[in-house]
Amino acid sequence: MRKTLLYISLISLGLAVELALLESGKGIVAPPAVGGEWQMQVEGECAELRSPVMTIDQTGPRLEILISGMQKLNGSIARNRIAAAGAAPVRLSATSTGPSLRGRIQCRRGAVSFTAERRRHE
Amino acid sequence: MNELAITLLQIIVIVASGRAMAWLLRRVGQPAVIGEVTAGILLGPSAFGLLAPDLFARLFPPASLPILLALSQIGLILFMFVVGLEFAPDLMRGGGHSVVVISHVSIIVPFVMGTALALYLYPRVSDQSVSFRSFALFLGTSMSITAFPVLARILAERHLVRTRLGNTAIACAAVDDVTAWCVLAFVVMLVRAGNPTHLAVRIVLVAAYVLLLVFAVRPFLARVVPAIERKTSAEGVLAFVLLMVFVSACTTELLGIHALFGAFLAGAIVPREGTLATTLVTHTRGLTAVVFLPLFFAVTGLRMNIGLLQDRSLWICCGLVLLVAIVGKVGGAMFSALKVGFSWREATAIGLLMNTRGLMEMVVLNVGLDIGVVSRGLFTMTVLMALVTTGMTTPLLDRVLHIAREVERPGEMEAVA
Repeated sequence: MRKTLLYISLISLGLAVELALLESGKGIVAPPAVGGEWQMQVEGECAELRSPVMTIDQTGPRLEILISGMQKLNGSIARNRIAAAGAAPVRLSATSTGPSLRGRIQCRRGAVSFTAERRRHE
Repeated sequence: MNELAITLLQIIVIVASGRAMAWLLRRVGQPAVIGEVTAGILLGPSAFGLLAPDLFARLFPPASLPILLALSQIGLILFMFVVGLEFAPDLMRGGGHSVVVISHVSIIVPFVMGTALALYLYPRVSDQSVSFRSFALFLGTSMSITAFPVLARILAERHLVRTRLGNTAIACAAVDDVTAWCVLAFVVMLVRAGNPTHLAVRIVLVAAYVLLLVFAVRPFLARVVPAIERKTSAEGVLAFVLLMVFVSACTTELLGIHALFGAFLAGAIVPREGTLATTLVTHTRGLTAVVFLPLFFAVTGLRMNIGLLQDRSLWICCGLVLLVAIVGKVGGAMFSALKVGFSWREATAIGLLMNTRGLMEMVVLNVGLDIGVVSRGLFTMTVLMALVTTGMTTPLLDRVLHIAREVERPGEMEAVA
């Protein structure tokens, strides 16, 4: 009898706390989702970007960006704005609008604009 | 090099390094699974990819990974079938009320603590493609796992299976396993269903499928299998059962829960009368353990990347995941064990044993990554947590039990049979 009461009280308390926690978390906002594979369209000359596929690995607001032919970039997303940089002076900035990205990337000969469409979600 | 040669080379490297690490870590008293998981992590981008990026890119070119992933999934389906085959409902009845209290409290405490941690982690390691509810429920589930096979092996190696402590721990782990799979199945359905109507339909369909297996397929197998055993060869029976496993895995995948649940259910309904279950375990376990599971660990290692934990705040998140997992599981199990009448030392030992997450945690985490509810960063943190919680079990348990043996009072660790 004592064990049954103990069981019922502990489990009901646990469930009540669980429901309260789930309810309280409803208002928390996570960063926009940009993780996955993106097909880039470069507007201008950039020799490094021959078949530009951009892979973004996202952990919360932190991003690891791999673009074929270029070095790895580390960056972040705040609201819907992406900013990333590599070891050499390679920089990327973009704005996310859900299924597409629009921004600029620094190539050896200067910065070029690009758009990107999502190929695969992370 | 062509695709087949690359795949074969990958298998050679993975199996050989897995065996070597398992052998090495067994020398220091760790379960083989720790060595195999460590080998998988070392072969991934966190170590091998960092130290020799060119060689890593040659051995694991991105185009070859789908083949490795498919092989590891098939291996995991076979492994879950073996887990189902070895599932013994009798064990759950072993310790009566005490077992139910300890196992369920040791699930709900880390689950609730995991949900509380989700309030902090959600904006830091997740994104808007995952709802808070799915994220929190999944994190809670991953915190509340206990690895029944590893726990059973640890107890057997220490000759503790037939003690009150061992009996209770095994029974609790069995209850934990079943409860955790049910909760995970619900979370996967919740994530995949999208809206409440789809979720309700899926729950009804899955419940109907489980009832069909238990009340129609199981009795049918009990009648038909002896006849098949008499008429065909062992290979014929194996082919029949494996077909059933893949059909069941495919069905649960189509029903919106993971294929692994179907494989587990197929194993669980195989009749225990006669020699069929034992024969199937013998036939499937060896190849699964030696070849397929190391492939799964390597895929896990390839999917995690310690380099993603770029700054101190992510390492703080990782530390919190570890802390909550240990405090929740050890604390929950210990507290409830004390409340149902175990001594401090026995309660501590039960808490430590229930904290063993091992392979089961890896399975759950990979499911989370497959359905997109965990990011690769969180995946990395939770794999590290699984490794640490499993690795800490044996040294701490030996310490606690050594002290306990020195001061053991009569009757404290008595055998139950």
